[in-house]
Amino acid sequence: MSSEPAVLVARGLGKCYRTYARPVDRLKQALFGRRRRWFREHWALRDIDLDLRRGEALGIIGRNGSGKSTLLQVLAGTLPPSAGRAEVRGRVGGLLELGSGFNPEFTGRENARLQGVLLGFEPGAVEAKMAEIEAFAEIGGFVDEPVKTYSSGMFVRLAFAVQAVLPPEVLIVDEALSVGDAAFQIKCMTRMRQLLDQGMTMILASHDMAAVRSLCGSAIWLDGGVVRARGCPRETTASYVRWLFGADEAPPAAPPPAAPRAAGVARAALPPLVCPPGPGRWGSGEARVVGMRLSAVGRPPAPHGTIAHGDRLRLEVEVRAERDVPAEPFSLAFSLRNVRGLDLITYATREGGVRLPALAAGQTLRATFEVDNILPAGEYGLVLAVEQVFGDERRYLDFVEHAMLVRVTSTVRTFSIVAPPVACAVSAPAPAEAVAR
Amino acid sequence: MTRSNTAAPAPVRVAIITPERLPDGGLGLVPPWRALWASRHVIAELGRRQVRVRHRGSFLGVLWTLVHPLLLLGVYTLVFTVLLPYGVEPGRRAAFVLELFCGLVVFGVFAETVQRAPTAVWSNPNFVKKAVFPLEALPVADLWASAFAGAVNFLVLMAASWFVAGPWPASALWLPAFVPPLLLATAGVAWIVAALGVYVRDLAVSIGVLVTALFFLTPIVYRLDQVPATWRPLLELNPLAGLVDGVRTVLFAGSPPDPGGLALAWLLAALLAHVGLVAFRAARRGFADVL
Repeated sequence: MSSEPAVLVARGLGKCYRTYARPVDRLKQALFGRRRRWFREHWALRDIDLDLRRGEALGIIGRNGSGKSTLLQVLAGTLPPSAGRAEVRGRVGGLLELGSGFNPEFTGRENARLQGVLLGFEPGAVEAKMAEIEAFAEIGGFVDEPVKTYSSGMFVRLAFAVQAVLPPEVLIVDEALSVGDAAFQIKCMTRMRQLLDQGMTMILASHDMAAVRSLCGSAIWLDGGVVRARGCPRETTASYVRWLFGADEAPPAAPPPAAPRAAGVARAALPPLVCPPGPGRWGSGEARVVGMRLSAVGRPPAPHGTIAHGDRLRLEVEVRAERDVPAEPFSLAFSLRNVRGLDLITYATREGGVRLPALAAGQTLRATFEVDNILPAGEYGLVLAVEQVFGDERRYLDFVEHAMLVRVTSTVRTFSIVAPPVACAVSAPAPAEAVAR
Repeated sequence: MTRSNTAAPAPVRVAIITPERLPDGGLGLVPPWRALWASRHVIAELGRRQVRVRHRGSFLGVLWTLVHPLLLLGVYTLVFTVLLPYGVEPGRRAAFVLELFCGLVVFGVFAETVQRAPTAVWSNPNFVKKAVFPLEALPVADLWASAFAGAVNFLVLMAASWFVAGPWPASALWLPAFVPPLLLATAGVAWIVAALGVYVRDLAVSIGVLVTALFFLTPIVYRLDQVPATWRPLLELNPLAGLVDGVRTVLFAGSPPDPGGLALAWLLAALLAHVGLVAFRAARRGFADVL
């Protein structure tokens, strides 16, 4: 086949929400809408153009509220657009949010059967595939229970199983893949790839950059309802993540600087940590991180936050006490976290057996950590915490979720989430032995 | 070539999504019905489930569909022949009970469906917002379940009629002719009520009153010929009145139906169904915004 037919074409799609003061105004608008307006407008989506051919997969990324879900709903046909036009060829299946079109009162089997006939399969064909759906979902006897009794994991298992066994020609997925245990996720990924190979077309909206990169052939980044970037998934996700962390650091609301009192020997100041309290930073404030620097041991200074894979990473953190802090449960911790939110390298002085001294109000303390950078190329978030540890409980004096974005560069491709140095020895060829034929 | 990895793929559907039309076709004369036909398996699945669910967890299960009308018939017999025998001539008491029951069965198909209609769409927000779902099927699934119960009730009525009044008259062969207008008219009203119910929540509460009012405007506890002649044309505007009266005529009076009236019932019911379906589809575009 020279050219695959276009499966999905969208031109100038837009969705405008109208907000009404009262429900009745809606009816008035529907009935006599030509002359008067009873609403206010809010454009959730604007000027979206898409072209997808058979077997292609498109990733959609963006922050919450950027219009991802709205776009998916419009393409799935569940939400009428306010402008533009789209054409979708083939059976459309949607995994929109958790369990999508499941009725919570129906049993798993009833829902599965309904989804099957909704996709356009004959009831007989659905019945014949029922055992396969059950086997894929692995939810056992729960298939005959109402799905409202399901855990979110079971919900997604069943929803995915239906789409996996009775695949649509166009699959629209919103985030669903990230639920379920690892084994099921791997099974889903494998099945998705298989279906894509068989010619299924897919649109995937996700916060999981790894899924977008590994499944999709192209990606668009939505921001405020418009396409901010589009192209190859690796680049699009990278610029999105960079922007995401940058935006979190951006507002330079300077914390009121207390008069610095000289404490101990004079040291060259660390670059200040600018991160105002908010969703990304919290804590009691009795002591806080005031400065930090990330560098590579024995390397010339690089742009701050960039480090090569395999280098020895040095992290210096300066903490200032606002009030007296006793030595006993006092601890300082950091973590390097990937875009999926997994903590890959973590360390806390307390668990590491390093005792911190007590600090009087106004005193500062500098800690230097060194670790071999086993992280593969990519973007990571640096988390810093000043904490007190009481048994299993942790109390945060200062918790900085996005202290900085760390970019790791590498010349080798890595497929694992960490890449520690591996020693490998290979023997010389052994003499040939007689091979049984 | 399409490679298919499962049984029986449907022919390629093309959904055209624009602000003006629904993905499964426009309004017009044929497209709404073609879309409804395309969702027949969904209707069947939902309808069968409704039948199962109404009696889920009870000891008798689906048998209730049979036991319920038998009990009702027993209660009416007791009330109108023993407890409250006034107003009905002694020789007609058994016939009266049968006529009453007949009216209740026919009206019941309509009433049950329409009473569920305001919440049929409204109580399924998942189907509206999160799925590609033929929402027209929801009121029809309720109709399916009501019609199933109605059919069983009617069998009980037929048996009771044989028992009380002997073999059915030949005119009873006309009975199937009353089924399509009843179903079409009920569906038409149910679609309108279901669509309105999404926008006007009050309907879910007030529908019971409306249906009760209609109950007394339909010749169920009385016969059409007992109504003063001046008011009769008004009652005849109610399509259910003609249907109930017609069913009684062919089953109990033994005379064939008025052909003009029956034809009119078909026409009105078809019109009502079409208007209802088109109105539902026109209103459907706003459902997701409301729920």
